[in-house]
Amino acid sequence: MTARQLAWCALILLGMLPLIGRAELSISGFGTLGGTISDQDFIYQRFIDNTGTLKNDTIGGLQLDADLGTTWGLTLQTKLAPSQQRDTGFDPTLSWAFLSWRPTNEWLLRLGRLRIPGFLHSTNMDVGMSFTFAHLPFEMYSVSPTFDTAGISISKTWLQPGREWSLDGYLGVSEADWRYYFRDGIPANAPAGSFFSEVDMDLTTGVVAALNEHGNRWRVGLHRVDFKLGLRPLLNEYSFVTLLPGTEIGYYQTLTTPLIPNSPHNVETAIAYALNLSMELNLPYQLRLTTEYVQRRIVNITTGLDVNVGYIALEKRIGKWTPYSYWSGIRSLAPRLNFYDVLNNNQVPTFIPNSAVINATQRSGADLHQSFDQRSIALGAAYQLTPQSKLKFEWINTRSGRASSFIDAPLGEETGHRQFNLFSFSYNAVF
Amino acid sequence: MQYFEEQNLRLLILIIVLLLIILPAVADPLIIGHAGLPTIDQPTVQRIYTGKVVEIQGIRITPINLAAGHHLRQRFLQLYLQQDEDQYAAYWIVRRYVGKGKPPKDVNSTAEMRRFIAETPGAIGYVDADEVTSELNILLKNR
Repeated sequence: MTARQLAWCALILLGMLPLIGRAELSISGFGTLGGTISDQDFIYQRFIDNTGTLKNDTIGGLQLDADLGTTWGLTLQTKLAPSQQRDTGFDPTLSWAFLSWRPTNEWLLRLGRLRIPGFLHSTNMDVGMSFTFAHLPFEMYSVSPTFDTAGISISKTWLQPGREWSLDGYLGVSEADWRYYFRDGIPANAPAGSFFSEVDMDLTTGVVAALNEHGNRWRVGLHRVDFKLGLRPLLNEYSFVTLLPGTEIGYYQTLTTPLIPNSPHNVETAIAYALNLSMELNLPYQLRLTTEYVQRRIVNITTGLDVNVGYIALEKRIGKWTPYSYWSGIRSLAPRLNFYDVLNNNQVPTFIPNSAVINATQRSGADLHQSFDQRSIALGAAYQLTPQSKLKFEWINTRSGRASSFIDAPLGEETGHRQFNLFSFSYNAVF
Repeated sequence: MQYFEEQNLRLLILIIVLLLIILPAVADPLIIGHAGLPTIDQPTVQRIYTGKVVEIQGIRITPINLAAGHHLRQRFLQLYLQQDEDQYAAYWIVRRYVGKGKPPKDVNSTAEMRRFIAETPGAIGYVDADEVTSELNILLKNR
């Protein structure tokens, strides 16, 4: 739990102290204990390989809801989950700490640390009991390093016979950590392996419009994030330094090579936009169709994080069983994938002084640039043990195309053109 | 063979009669509320119990439920929300964990429900039609 999160918690509690004594309190909790194993020896999604792991799926949390009078409320949620700042250990996190004010049926205002209305399940993604899949489609739900923000959200609802329209807006600041993985490292400079960079989001804002009609849902959202990385400045273009005039022998200046001081290509603050579309439909024979799409663009830097992502899922309730299947995919824009290939394969001849270091910076530069070209097919089932608990089983087949920054490729190898299977099982409960 | 068939038929009739005696007769639940609340319709009842309506004509609403598993609660969920116990629990799990409230408070009996409604301004609940008395404020008789 960061100092800022603790400060939010203390601030809200202190402000509400006079009311808490008269409040009606409710404590609830959620948890998932699960394991996943791959049929390959490289690591995927930070933890998963052929030795199996509990870390990918295991999480627990507590939530306190307090009614502070007829229109005011306080919600605190804390969770214990694998650390987002390193690949080892679990960290407690303050997910939510917000005041809510609901003066009428139509208006809801919330102030504090809260979760943005991003995708269909981004607000409840930690609570396995609240959705059917053993894993929410990873390609989709990895688009943002966090869905938490500290600020304000306003919701307006229009209730009509048989349908509800809603408009949610939010504005805040946030922080997170973004994981990078150096396949090879840089001799005498940086080891191979994972490392984390702070991401300071000076602005998170967005608006989501939704229609709910007889259990069918449609949503459209537009979001913007202005962020800085804890690494050196981001780049809007990669300069090429020619080592032998008249030839193509040279290297791209990346974040792992000395940058020209005050380079015109340096960018302090990156600006990202995301457009997302979601739909949930009830079909005949107790079938339910869910599909989401998001397009993310970072408009002022060159990065493989410019992606199109989507999934489509079908589930059917059969008594206590809910079998499901989904297809999920993510792809960086073609120019980004092309540049990733160019950067990744750029090598200077060995007669060039320091060629080993130079060549390592090109592959590491590609690791920092990141790129995604991956699809997954999942088949699974949830079994409702009780209204408060369920078991989930899932098989996923994943194939990477030209590259996938979700894969920790071994030394000297590539992330692309791999295929692997994941098997998972989890127990999910709330109280 | 005919003797055994007659014996089986008698046994079946006996079982049916016993079940009719043992199982409580379930009338449709009627929606009741604290004095002063206006009559409401079924969609409003549904929205109250799903957290989407919190006030009626400026009066803050406090819905109350019977405990999970109570036969009248199950009938209420089926008739007014078109949900079973699992679906209702699943709905409120999602709603709680998207930060939009918590489910209505549960009580163990209709007597406790009537007492709560009588004492709490804005309270809404339901009782078996056979338990209706003149001092109860009936908000909805027929769906």
